[in-house]
Amino acid sequence: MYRYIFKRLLIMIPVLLCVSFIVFGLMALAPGDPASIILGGTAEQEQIDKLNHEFGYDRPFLIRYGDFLQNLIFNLDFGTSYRTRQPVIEEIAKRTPVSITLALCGITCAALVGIPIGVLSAVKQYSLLDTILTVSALFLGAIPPFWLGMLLIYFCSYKAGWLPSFGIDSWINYILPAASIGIIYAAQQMRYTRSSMLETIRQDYVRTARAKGAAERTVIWRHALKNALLPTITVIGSNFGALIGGAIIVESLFSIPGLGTLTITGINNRDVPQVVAATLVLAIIYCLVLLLVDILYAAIDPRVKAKFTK
Amino acid sequence: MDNRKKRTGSKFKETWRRYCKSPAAMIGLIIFIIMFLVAIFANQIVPYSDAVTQNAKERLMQPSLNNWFGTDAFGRSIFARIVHATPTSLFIGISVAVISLVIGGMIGISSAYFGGRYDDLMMRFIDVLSSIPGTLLSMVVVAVLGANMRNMIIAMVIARIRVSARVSRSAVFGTTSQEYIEAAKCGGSSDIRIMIKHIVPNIMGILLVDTTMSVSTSILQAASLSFLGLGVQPPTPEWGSMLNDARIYMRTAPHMMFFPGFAILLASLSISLVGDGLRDALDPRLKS
Repeated sequence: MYRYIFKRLLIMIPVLLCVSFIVFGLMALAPGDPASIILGGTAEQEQIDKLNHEFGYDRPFLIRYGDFLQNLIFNLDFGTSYRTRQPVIEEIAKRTPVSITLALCGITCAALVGIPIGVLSAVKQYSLLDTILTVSALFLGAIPPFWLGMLLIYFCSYKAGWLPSFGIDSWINYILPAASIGIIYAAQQMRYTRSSMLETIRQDYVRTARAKGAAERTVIWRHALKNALLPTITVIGSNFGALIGGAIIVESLFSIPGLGTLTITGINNRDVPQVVAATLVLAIIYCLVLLLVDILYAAIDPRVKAKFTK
Repeated sequence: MDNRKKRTGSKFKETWRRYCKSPAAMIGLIIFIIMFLVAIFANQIVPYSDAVTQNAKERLMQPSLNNWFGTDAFGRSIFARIVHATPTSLFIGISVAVISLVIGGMIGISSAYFGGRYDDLMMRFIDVLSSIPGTLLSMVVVAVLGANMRNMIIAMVIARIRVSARVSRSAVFGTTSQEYIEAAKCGGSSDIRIMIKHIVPNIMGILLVDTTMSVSTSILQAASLSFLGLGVQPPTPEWGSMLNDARIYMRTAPHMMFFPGFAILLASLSISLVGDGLRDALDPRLKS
């Protein structure tokens, strides 16, 4: 098991190298340079050149990339932001917890709603309740997240005045953004849980559990759900990984200072160190989450565990 | 040859018969056909000039008999804008899904077919693409190429390839060890011929369902990118950018955000209903 984890961590290194190279390369190809964006349209060409020289932006791309890698590997330094002239890692360290909190709230909310409803819908297959739940999940799954966010802001914040619509001052601020992510993912998780539960409740061991006289509740929630949850866990894991960086639009809609909004400003300002560092952090989190899901999988399913210990 | 034609014909009929049985799938198909007709006859429904001509006197009007969905901050009819955004959104959704299917399909099918080193290399490449969040990757690509519709499609295809590559790769896995592939190899067919003539028809169902679903997500994605100002440029109407315009006027003119959002919802919902229906119709075993 430990060997497997170590191997997975080693594989991450080339993946991250490629990610940094791709993003660095793309940013180098982008038209415009950081100095002219920072100084604005009225600046003299001389000033622009001077500032770009200061950033080292006038050197060839490969040399800049080499410098970046050297700095990262030997000094563990992600570089200095062109715009704020602060080490980029400071801003990232401030914002990463915000993004993780948002993603966690959203996913937890989705799982708490989606899984039980999925089970209920599977157990009562073809009933009126099942139809209503499935149809509403279809509807919710097709809503664009930012539109749902806008509707929530309009109804819960402007009209009713219950909840704040921006910022991260306290946990109350997280409710609306987490809900606009959570509702959509809840719909998805409900569909996954339902279909995997439908498969599970027809298995022999479920019939055995019933035959030995276990209460229906025990059969469903203990015997069936435990097995049906396996595919759902993978979905939750990859959703979580995608959400940390993928909540860009929800972050910008609710003015949340997370990694997503940081990357948008970085891209718009051609702030290469900022964008590359943020993307790398996102990629690291994503890879780690996927690894964690696999480990969790092994912890839950003895069959998977047996494969590793062999 | 004749016999085969007959068989495929009856398979199509059989699938269609099963498809018709699901009311949800039929509703999805009907909504989709209506949207498709709206897209084709957009100019006949309401002239394009209504969607782009600014009219300062009629700005931010509530929905009324003259302006069914009200007007936006420039006095343009929201109904006309939504109608004329339909072809754009459908075009983006379908072209992203099809192009990424072709490229991703080639990567996925060839890696599953050849296996070994080539497969490892391709999958590592897909892993790299996957670890960059999709929206972010599209944003960087748009920043490089410049914000317009063509570049947004390219950006979305790049972010989407990994999904279709994975789907087609896993679909091929079951088929490569089958005897008819072995037989075709013994018969001297080239690898490319085997892939196109024998493997692709066998996984067509899975690819078709995946592509339909991918049209639906691509329409959502395109709207999100336009919402961030990265896609279709003004004054061309687009649902996502209409929502972005509506953001500032949310308190005073909420009608500006209701209708475009609903249009996106309808488009993405109808297509995913069609996809669900297709999956059940093509493979009845998956249903229960």
